[in-house]
Amino acid sequence: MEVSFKLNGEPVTVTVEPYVSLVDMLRDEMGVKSVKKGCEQGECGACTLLIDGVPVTSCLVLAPQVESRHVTTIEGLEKNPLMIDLREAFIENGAVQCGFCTPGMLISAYALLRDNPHPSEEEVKRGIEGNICRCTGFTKIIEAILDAVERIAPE
Amino acid sequence: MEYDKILSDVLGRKDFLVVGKNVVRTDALDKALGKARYTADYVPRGTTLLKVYRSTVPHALIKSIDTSRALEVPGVETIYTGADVTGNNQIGYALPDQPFLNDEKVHFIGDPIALVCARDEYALEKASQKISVEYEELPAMLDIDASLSEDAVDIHEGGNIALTTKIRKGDTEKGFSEADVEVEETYWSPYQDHMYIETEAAYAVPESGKVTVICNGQSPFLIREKVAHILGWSLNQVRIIQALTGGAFGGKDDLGPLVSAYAAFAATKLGKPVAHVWDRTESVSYSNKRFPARIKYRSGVTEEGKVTAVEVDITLECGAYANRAPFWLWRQTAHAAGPYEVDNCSVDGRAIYTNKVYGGSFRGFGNLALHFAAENQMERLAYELGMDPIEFRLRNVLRVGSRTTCDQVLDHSVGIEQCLKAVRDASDWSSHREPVWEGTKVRGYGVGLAYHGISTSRSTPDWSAASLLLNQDGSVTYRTGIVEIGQGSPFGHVKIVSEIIGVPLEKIRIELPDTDSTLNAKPTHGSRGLMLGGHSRRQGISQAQREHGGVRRRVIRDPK
Repeated sequence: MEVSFKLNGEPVTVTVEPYVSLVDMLRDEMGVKSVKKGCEQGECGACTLLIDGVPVTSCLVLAPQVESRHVTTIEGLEKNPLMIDLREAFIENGAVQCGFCTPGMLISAYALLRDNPHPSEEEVKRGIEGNICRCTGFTKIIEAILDAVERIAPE
Repeated sequence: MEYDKILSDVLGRKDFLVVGKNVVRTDALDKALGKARYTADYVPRGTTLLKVYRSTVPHALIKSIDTSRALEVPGVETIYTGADVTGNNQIGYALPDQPFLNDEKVHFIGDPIALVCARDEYALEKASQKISVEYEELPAMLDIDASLSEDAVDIHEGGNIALTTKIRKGDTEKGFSEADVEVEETYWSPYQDHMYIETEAAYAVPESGKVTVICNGQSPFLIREKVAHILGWSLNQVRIIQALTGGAFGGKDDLGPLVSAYAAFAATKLGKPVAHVWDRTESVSYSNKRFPARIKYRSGVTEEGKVTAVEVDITLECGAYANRAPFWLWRQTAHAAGPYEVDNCSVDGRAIYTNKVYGGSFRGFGNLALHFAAENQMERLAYELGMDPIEFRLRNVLRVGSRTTCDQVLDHSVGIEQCLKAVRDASDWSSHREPVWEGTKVRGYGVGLAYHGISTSRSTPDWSAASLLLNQDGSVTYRTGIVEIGQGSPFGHVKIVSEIIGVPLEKIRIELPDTDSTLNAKPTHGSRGLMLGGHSRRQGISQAQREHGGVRRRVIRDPK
């Protein structure tokens, strides 16, 4: 079947079997490799992306479900000012180690700060509770997100 | 020698320019942009996929394997069994007890029997359901007591004890007779999975008389050796490229060779590229785990707080194969008394086969279980003596001149006492000894000590290697067999390189380990990646400076 949606703002149409997951369609059919597969059961958060601005684990979404929707991956936020601050904060705070969880983690952190520009540490922990990192122990990631809050220029 | 002088010049600096400074990892930006590529990211669309078909029973003789119905599934390209292995059907790490593909007997639920190759995951799944294996089931030995019981069935030829270890130091009988207090307890530690977020993966591309495997492991050169062994090829016919790796923690040290060998075997037989990527269920169910252990521990201590004797009995559960159990068990045995000087030690270790998933490398390599037991003993002894736990430990810790469990004299520096005192003072220990209740939780300070022999040990020579290419424009190409698995060791190396030769970090590019162009640096495990890797960097660089005297000055002056 055909699925038409916007990927990072660009309209796309993909022919795909109806039982294929969104993460598999992006990685295998469209070559979007920044979306990582860690568990395929919605636990690890490595495949997190935005559907109509909402962070979701793309392994639990079937490809046809994004018909007419906006899908945003880390590539689509490359020049976004909030993502730039977050990315730099992650890099400078040592929150990037093996890097496998990083794209999904950044997406969750982005959605958090977009909706809540001044989160408490507890709210940061809630914001990334769907993303598992096995290298950092999370401390540096939490520090990075709180540091990004400081970097965001006042409007 | 001249390079020793260069080294001591650099190391004698009061302040380093790069080493010890908070600088940004050169790989962090690509990772944060989602541009960093891991093994599965290299697999092109349409590549043949591989899945391992595994045993469904824990212990059985294989009477027959029928793949005919599975081969009829649309999309299935081929299925290989042990009968197709023309090289060597043996991939055991320490002992030759682990078939590559089992065709006579299975030893745990998940033992590999066949390799299914198909165009997509759905065909793989369907075909796997249609393979039929006729078993003659044997009683399953599901814990160490069952394996050691009188009516136990042997899992491997030669019995269920894979190996034993033994240390006798001093006279434990005399030691216990001098003791005023004794504590005896049994400690259990369970299986544990590494749970790296990136699962095991390999992508093999064959060409005439050669195969290239992109994979995630911890030792590209061990992987090359195992792949060549399975294929019956020479080492120069196998090229291993280690991609950036999404966590390993010891697990991929053992799994890297296996998944690479499966992919390479199928790719070379089939004559086309093959991708083998595990899903999470496979990874958790069938990857090797932390070896479980039962440790029986008896300690004696005088009223003054001196430990006079320990008697330690370690029963390690290998699971279906010994894998790294010999080295794991020896490490536990050698550290048995913990970081303390005990004159009288008696240590016995046994590694036992069971019909369960097998153990392997995992951070700490045996010392977590051992220290869990040893430190619980120390805590119990302190309590029995009514002595402060830190004070009690200070009366027993290893110092310069002390002899370890295996009677090794520590004649270099020993920092345990200094460390413990610093922790005591910085934590304001004595004022935090009273437990504080917060609702249903209680908070208080406790203390634990551990020591760990890092690197490869076991009396084999340990060394590392790296190469630097100084390019005409002043940039540097850096290659090492030490792999990046999140810990950043290769970046640690280039910080040392930058410090010594004076080339800025951004002018040094780290290439992926590639067995065709990288020097063998041995495995990335046991905290040796930076420790040994870094040392060889220092020595290699100073040698390079001596041999290419002018380069350094030119590079510094004109770093364009």
